[in-house]
Amino acid sequence: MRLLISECERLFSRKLIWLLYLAIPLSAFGALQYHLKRNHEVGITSPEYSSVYTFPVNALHEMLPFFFNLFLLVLIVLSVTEEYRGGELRLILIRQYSKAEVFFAKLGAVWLLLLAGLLLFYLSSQIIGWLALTKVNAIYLFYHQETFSVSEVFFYIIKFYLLTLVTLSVLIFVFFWIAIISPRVTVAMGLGIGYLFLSITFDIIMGIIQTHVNSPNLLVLFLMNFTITRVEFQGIHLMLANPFNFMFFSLVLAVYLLLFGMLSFFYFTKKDYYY
Amino acid sequence: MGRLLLSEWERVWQRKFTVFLLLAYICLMFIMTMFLKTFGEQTIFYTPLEKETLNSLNFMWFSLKEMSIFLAIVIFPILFFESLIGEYASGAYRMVLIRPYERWKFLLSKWVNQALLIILFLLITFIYSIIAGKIFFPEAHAVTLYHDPSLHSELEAYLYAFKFYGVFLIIQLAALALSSMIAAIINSAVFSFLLLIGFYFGVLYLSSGKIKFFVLPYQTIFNILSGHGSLLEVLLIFIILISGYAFSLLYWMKRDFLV
Repeated sequence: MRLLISECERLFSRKLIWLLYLAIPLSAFGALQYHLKRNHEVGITSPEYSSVYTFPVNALHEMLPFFFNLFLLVLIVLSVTEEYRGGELRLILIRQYSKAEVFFAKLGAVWLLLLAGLLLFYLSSQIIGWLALTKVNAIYLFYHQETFSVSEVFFYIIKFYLLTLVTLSVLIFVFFWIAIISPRVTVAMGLGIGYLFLSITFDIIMGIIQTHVNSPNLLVLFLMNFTITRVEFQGIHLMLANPFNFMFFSLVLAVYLLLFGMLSFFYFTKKDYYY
Repeated sequence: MGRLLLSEWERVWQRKFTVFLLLAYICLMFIMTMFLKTFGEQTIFYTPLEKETLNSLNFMWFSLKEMSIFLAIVIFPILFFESLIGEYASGAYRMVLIRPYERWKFLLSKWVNQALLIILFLLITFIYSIIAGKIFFPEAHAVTLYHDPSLHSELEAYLYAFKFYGVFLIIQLAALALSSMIAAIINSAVFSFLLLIGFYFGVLYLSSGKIKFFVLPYQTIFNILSGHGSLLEVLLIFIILISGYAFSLLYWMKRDFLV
């Protein structure tokens, strides 16, 4: 427990983290600018229309692949690679905690900061939406035919944010593994951004392949939805649409969790930190 | 000065990650070629609306078009910041600074080395595209260019490719100047990486897509070479080039390296 608090303190003491938290309301404001323009193009009956009630979901959906992935990458690189290669991690290992406990403490600290970031984003987007956008009575959501009332949309928002938290938690393990195998901080940042870039490229390429193979090819369909960025771009909306999608994407996330969870855990605990 | 350049070059290649990046880049180029060959139906897009058929000649510049985003956003920033910030932040650069050269010569050696790295990557892309073009794509002896439907001979195709790669080199030198300016002020590699990528996308967003040569260099290059280049972009490239190098030199000279 004390280790967790010390990890959180150390992360919070970095000025870059304060800057990122300051950027969260700004990104919500940026999403507002985009949606104000978009609201004119699509009508009130489109799911893309952001009213006061759907703005938190739409804004998060815009900012998720670009802002929160980088937010997470920066958190993890600062927590793991910089301390490891800068020699600070040895000072933590002097304390009578095992490497596994340090691993879980770092994980917990990053997760708590991510939670705080998501809450801050929800608050700022809700406040900004309440100030700038219109109230509507019947709300249309992605992949749903019927309209929703205000209280139903509120539960949708909670579910959406929970699923985003789950998706980003899986991404934490991926970035953790990248951070621990990198010999330098620049390499960690580059590999992280390269992973996101290749992931998005893979989705686009699979989409192009999909249009070229005849008859819904199961393998291509499966591979198309297999990346975390795909889950971020469309998967969460699809998961909340019907149970089959929910099971499928949960399976995808579980595979990533298992693979990268084990990779990052074993790399972290088996490394020699005392040089 | 020559010895300083050689030492910097050796240090760049001693880091195993540089070799890994080069090999990964070649693998990626191969995957890109295979994708274009099997699923591309030999068409490639200048913009989402304008297309062109691939052949062995125009693959020279289309291969760079496909790889340019990856180079500009992932590979070159890693290489730039590893050289500019990595050695300084770890303290290893102090061992180099012991040598009896004037302060500005150290920075110049870094710039020359990074420029040579850019040229190396571009050369590898060029050679690969010539070989892969001849193997995988239909043989052609005349090409059409962007906004220029008249046929051009092989020699003109090579000239166009040289100009294409040349403009991309100038854009990446401007990116190096920008990275150098960021690295001169900020000591943290994470922050500078974030700042550079944020600057690339921020400028794209704030100018409503007019200034796109950082993120989408190929569109700018096609526009410039077909004569429809936007003056704003060309001016901005040269302003960043000159002011970036000037400011980073100024900060470098005043910097305290003994931290």
